[in-house]
Amino acid sequence: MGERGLKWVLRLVGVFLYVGPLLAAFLVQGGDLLAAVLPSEQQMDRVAQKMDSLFNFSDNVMERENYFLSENGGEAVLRLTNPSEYPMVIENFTGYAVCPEHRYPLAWFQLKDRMEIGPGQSGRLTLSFYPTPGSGAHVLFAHLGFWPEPEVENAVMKLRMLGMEIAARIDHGGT
Amino acid sequence: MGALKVNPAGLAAGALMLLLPFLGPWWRASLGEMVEVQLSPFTYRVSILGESLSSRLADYLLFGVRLSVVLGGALLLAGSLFPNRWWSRRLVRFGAMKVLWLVVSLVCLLVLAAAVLNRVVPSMLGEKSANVHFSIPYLSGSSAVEISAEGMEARAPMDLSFTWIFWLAAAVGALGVIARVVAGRMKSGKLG
Repeated sequence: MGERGLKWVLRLVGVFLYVGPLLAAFLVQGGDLLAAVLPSEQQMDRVAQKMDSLFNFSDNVMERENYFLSENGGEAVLRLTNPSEYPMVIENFTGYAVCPEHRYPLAWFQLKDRMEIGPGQSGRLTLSFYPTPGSGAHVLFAHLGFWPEPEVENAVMKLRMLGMEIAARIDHGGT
Repeated sequence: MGALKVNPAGLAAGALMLLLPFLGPWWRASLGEMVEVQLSPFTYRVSILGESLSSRLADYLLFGVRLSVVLGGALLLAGSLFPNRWWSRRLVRFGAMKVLWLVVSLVCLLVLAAAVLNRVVPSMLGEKSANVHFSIPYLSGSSAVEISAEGMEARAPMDLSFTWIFWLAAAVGALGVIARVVAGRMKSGKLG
């Protein structure tokens, strides 16, 4: 074989190494180009299932276990369930506790300590309440000194999950 | 300059070409801990929420590229070890430019993909209820995807980077060019 023959052999080998695998993949998939290019249905289904579990937050994810609020401050303990397959870190939970009748801000609250909740597990979040300056007077004059069962307003839960920072507003719920 | 008995650039490039397909990814990208992409002309890994996605066509094609580079490296080595044989220059020419083209192809692919994603995806999401803002860096860098919907805001960091293997591949590509030039000069008698 001369130089010219070698040149053509190498050219053909070069082309075959690119075209051959493409044809093989096409033939293995029974001539279905889309099936050869795209991931399998099983793989796509598994990803879809994981995505669903990620955002599958039902109504009973957060339940109140304990609560008190007075002119000296207060505390609430919430049980939070992580329904996803991934650990979740609650960085903060802030907002206002308002009088449900007059929407008057009675106290400002924040999470006492950040907390990590494992996949499918529950954790207790402790919220510390700090009364607003006019809350005592409002309770005295509008509620005859009895602290009403407040509702939360402008509540924002900041959490970290899968490297994502998420801020979720939780409005008009009971404390 | 004394006569060269071997083509040193070709020897170095050929040896590295035999290793290059087995060293790992050339480029990485991640979106938080949700999406991870690792890419090289020989292999790829796309993982969403820990689940790997694969394409048979890509698997087969990249296997062919791997074979092609290993064969090119072996022939480049042979052509560089015996530069005065009649087949030497042909073998060097077969292997010398392969890695350079792969480096150029990968860079073009990444630039094209970033351009398409930055332009096409926002227009596709334009009518949806969630606002998604992102700007994918070209080739490497850090950015973030910001999603805001009713009652929720999320931010996921995005990191793109070349690995040291990419820079090694670029060096192998440059060595391949030098090897080809040297082989040409040896053939014409200017060096060997």
